[in-house]
Amino acid sequence: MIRTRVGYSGGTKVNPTYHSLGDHSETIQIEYDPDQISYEELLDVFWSTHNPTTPSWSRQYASFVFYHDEAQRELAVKTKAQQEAKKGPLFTEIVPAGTFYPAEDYHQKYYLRNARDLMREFSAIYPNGDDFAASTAAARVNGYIGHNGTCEQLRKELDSLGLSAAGQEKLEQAVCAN
Amino acid sequence: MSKKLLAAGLLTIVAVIALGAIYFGFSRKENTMEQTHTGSTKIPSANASAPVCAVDTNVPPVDTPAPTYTKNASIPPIDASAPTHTETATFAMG
Repeated sequence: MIRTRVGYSGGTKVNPTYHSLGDHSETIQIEYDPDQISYEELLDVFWSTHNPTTPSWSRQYASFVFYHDEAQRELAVKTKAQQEAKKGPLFTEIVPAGTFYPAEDYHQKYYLRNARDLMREFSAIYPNGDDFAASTAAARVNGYIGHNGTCEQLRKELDSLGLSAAGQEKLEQAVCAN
Repeated sequence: MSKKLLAAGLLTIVAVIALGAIYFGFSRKENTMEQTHTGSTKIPSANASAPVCAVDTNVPPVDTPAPTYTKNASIPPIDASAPTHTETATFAMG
């Protein structure tokens, strides 16, 4: 996984915002290295981390796979059928990816933003919000703080995340304490 | 009679000199203005949107603000070595 961004997609409203979403849904966009992880593996994560067996209350929180090419569409359809064989009908729509509107800066890297000491270090490295949102290091630190990733995985790449010694210690404590 | 003619002649000469001075004075001013302002009627249509006033070189230079700081030099190594060949996946997860 190279970088992640949250935003709005799937609707027709131009330039939606969190408070004026129109017919869009809250969306995550992932840029990944296909030599490191496959689209099918990402779909496994997608199907296992939410439960679209009931319709969503609103389009804002609907379940979508936005495919970027035919190969992605075929894999999405295939894995949806596999999931439905286990769970019953799913309310996930598989549609072509349209315009993705990045969400406001304060929505990006939510967990990291709430870890103020670490966020202060990233703000010094990336004063520009777009640069920050595009940072692999910020995405990975955000993931670790959100309890995605193990202590062992963190220790392997801790030196590459651009944190000070104090920042590294703080992150290590947060991830490895349990 | 000749005195009256002489006086009239002198007045005429003075009037001509005065009018000449006024004319050339304005003319010089106008030339000066052309150096600092481009007259709108002389601007080619393609340049019609260019600023009407040129920079007045007599104005003392204002201190140039420091360049905006956009990125720290200490980019995290994982960002500096991020692969350029990537693919995109987009999901909405309820």
